[in-house]
Parts: sequence; structure tokens; C-alpha cells
Amino acid sequence: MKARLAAALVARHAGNWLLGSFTLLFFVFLVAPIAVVVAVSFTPQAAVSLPYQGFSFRWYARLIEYRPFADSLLTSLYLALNSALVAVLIAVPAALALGRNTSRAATATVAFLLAPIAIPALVIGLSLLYYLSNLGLGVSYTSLLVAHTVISVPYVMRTVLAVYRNVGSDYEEAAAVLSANPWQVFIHVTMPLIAPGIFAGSLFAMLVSLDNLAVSYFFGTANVTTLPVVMLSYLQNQFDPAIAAISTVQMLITIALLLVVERTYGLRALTTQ
Amino acid sequence: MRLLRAFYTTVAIAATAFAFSASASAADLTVTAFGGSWEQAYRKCFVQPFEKATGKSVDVILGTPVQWVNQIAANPQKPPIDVIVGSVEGAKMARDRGLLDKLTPAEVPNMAELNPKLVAYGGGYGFPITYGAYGLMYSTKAVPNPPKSWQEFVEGTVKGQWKAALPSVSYVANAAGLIALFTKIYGGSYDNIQPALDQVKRMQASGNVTFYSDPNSPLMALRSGDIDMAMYFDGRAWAEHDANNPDIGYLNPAPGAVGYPNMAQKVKNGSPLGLQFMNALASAEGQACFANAMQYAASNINVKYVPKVQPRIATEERSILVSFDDIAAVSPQWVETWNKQIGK
Repeated sequence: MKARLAAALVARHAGNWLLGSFTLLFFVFLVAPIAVVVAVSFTPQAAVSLPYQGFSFRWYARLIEYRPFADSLLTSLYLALNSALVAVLIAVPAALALGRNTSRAATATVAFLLAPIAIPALVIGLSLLYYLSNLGLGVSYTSLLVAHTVISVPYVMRTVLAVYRNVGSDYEEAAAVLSANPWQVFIHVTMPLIAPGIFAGSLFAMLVSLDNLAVSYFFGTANVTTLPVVMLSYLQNQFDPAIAAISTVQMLITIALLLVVERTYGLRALTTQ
Repeated sequence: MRLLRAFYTTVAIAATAFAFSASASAADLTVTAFGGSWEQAYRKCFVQPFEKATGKSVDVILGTPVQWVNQIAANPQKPPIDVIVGSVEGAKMARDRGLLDKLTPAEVPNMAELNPKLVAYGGGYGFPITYGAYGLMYSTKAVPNPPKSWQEFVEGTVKGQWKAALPSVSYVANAAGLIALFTKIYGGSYDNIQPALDQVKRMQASGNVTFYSDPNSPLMALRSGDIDMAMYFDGRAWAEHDANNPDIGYLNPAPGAVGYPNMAQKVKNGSPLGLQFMNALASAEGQACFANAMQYAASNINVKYVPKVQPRIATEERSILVSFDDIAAVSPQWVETWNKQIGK
């Protein structure tokens, strides 16, 4: 009996050890490339190579010297915020209107609103360029915003739909029975319940926008160009650690964003309901 | 419904606000550029002197030729770009789609100083500012006696005297820089590239060749010792030599290396000021500044190079000028044949 218990204990420990090792290896596999990018950004050398000797902020100074990096980073951040905001304004009412509707038309409309995820971004970008130009918007910040909103809507829609369907209609019905008007029901009942979905969707939308190249590519102007487009153009002619430095800055912004969400709302709230 | 109406009112207000906040370009002229050191030299040599001389403002769009051509094609009556400076492939695309103005020396006087063989690349719709030769970049330590001809390069690779990198089918220089070049050397024609592919296959079978699809890979591979040699652009090779790797050498083996022009074109319905800017792009002064910075051969025959750059500049005798229009007509078949036989 004792021997069998001991064997089971050993097997359990071995299993835990194997699982832990696998998780650690997987974590290293995911994080190592990012760590390399961060490490390379501090090289004093002119070339991307490891290992290197010394430590330098030379390539961070280059970010200030080469204006398109800083300008396009600001454009990307501004665009990500705005497109997430507009996506919320479109996707949340749509999700509320369609979430509990089981008609074929509603199902088709949901599928239509989620469709941009399934279409290659290059196709969306090229099509929107010609379409928006025909509408008179041309190559402008407005067109860029519309394009980024199109690719952001499915992310907000998906998360809000999932949360809203899980909530059930009891709370809203109870509020209505207690004389709340539709606006009061939305503000005091529905909104707090679906907030995690809106938050998570907005976060996804912002990250998708920040990272997007294929759509932004077609709408760049002299004053409005996103960071990925500038990075691509830079890389085609120059390959130095400035790219690692700007990537590190971009990562820090994303981490800061997540920290703000964690401090103000709590990341756990985004994953539990 | 009231709720939805309130939401959509908010959306409309937000959209209107964004439309008004859209930053329209206020510059007198909008031109294109590749990013990084290319853009910096371009601004210093052409844009800033132009702004100083004319008192006009110039905006520079960063990106790629496919992006610029489509932006113009989508807005042909009111193009967002007045002058395109980009690749020869992009130049052909813009020309084929009827997006350009024809140019003559009467409108752009400095065109009279340009090498007519290079001006021919524009087909009347623009001219090259510079061109880069696609020859051999090599490690002077690993290959003290580099091949003097392309045949020597192929045979040395097959024998394992060095490890070499060639452009893959997805790299811009594959068609003209490798296939058209080898067709010229080993026979065949643009309709029959088999003799050229046979040589590539020989090198591939030897195991001494890798294929690259982005311009940074050969620089890193040469630095790490993974390769000893690569088919590469001269200006980029010398920039790497000066900045990071003094062991790099470069040469154009006999009978020469294919020249890739950097085309400048005036967009139809763009600002008339574009003609003045084109004249600046054709000027000996502007091109001398740019060519010395980027280490590419200038199209203006009066350009003087600084002593350090002069011996590095591709000469006409060692440059092969191919018809990119003819190559573009057959390149879909070339890609298919390459994919079937080489597969990289």
C-alpha cells in the first residue's frame, strides 16, 4: 500500500516537474526573441549583432534625431485610441441590438460585422483606398481612421457579444419592471455588466491598430504615417539597432497600457465574468 | 431604439469632428522617398536646397512605390503626390496606368545634362537620378582573390571555393539582376531562360548557395561568416563597409553588373511646381550631393564624385543596362519556371 502511494507521489511529482519544465521552455521560446530585441537596442555598435560589448543609448538618441519615428509613433497612438473609440461606438450598439436576436437577418448581420477578420488586411486596405477616394475622402487621416475602425470593429463586437449573451436578460428586465427607462437600464445595468467586454475589445482593437501595416500602408501621407509603415520603409534601406530601439519603446507603451488597465480596472476582470 | 439613435448621433458627431481634424497637407509640393539614410540624403541634397531657392514648402511621403502608385490611381484628378521618386518597377506601373506627365528638356532644362542611355529608361516619362549596380559583395578575408567574371563566380561556387548568397524569386533583383544577367552570359533569351536556370541549379546542387529575400540578410550572414559572398547592390555594400564591416569588398565581375535605376517622375494633374523640382532632381549639384552620400552612379554626366567615392562608382563599361519593360512582360513566366525548378 505504502509502496503504491509512494509510486503515485513520485509519478505526480515527475508529471509536475515535466509540465513545469515544458511551460518554462515554452515561455523562454516566446520571450527570447523579444529579449533579444530589447538587448540589441542598447548596443553601442552600428550593426544588429550579439553578443556586444558596452552599453549605450545611442539608438534611442537616433529616435529623436530621425523625426519620422517619433512623429509616426504619436500618429499610431492617436489613431489607435480614436479607432478603438469609434469601433466601440459602432460595435456596442450593434452587439446589444443583435446579441439576443436569433433571426437569420441578425445572424447574417453579425457575420457581416465580424467579416473583416476573415478578409486579408491588404485586400481591405486596397479596396478602401479606392472606395474612400471615390467618396471624396482621398488619402487622409479620416480615411486612415475609417480603415482602422473597419478592422477594429470585429474585435470589440466579438468580446461584447460574448459577454452580453452570457449575462442573460433577467437583470435588465428587473430594472425595467422597477420603472427604469431604457437609458437608465443601459447606464446602470447593461453597461456595468458588459464593461469587461468593451474594455477587452477596445484593448484588442488598439493593439491591432498599433501593429497594423497592411491597411495603414495605403493611407500614409507626409503628415500622417503610422509607425509600422515608417519602420518598413526604414528597413528597406537601413538595418541598424534603431529599429530595435523603436520596437522597445512600442513594447513599453503596450506594457504601460496594460499596467494602467490593471491599476484602474484589473486585468482579471477582463477574463472573468 | 432611442438608445441606438443616441449612439449613432454620437458616432456622427465623432466622425464629423475627425473629418474636420484631418490634417490636410499644407505644403506646396508633395514628393516621395524611401526611409532612413536614403530620405536624409534626399532631403539634404534636393528638398532643402529647393525650398531655400524657391521659398516653397515640400512634404516628403515615406513608403513604397506600390503604395504611391495606388494612392495616385485612386485620386487621378487630385493626386496626393506631385513627384514620385522610386524603383524602376514602380515607375513602369505608374507609366502603364497613365498617371504621369511626359517630360522634355524644354520643361526640365537639366535633362540635357543626363546620360541619354539612362534617360531612355523613363520612356519619355521621367529619368533616373542614380542607379545601383547589382554585382558581388564579398569578404576580403575569406575571399582574397574574388572572381573576375560571372563564370568564375559560378564555377568557384560549384567547386566550393566560397559560400554564396543569391536573390530569391521574391527579392526585387532576382529577375533582372540574376536571370536576365545569366541569360546574357550563358545564352538563351527572355523567352527561354533555361541556360540561366541551369547554372543556378548547378550552384544550388553544390550546396554552396543560399537564397535571400530581404536586403539585410546577406549583410548579417557575411558578418557572421555564414556566407563569403553575395550578389548585392554596390551602394548598400559600401555603406555597410563604411559603417559596420570594413572587411567587405565589392566588384562588378565581367562583363558587368545590371544597373537598377532610381526613377523620378512628374505626376499628371500634380502641382506645376513639380517640373521645377524635377529640374532640381536632374541637376549636377543635387545629384553630386546625393550620389556621393549614397555611393550610387549619378545620371547627370557632369557630376563630380569625391575621391573616396569615385573608385567605387559603377562605370558605364562595367554596367549592363537591361530593358525592364521587356523583363516585366515575361516575368510571370519566369517566376513560374523558377518556382518549378529552383523553388526558393
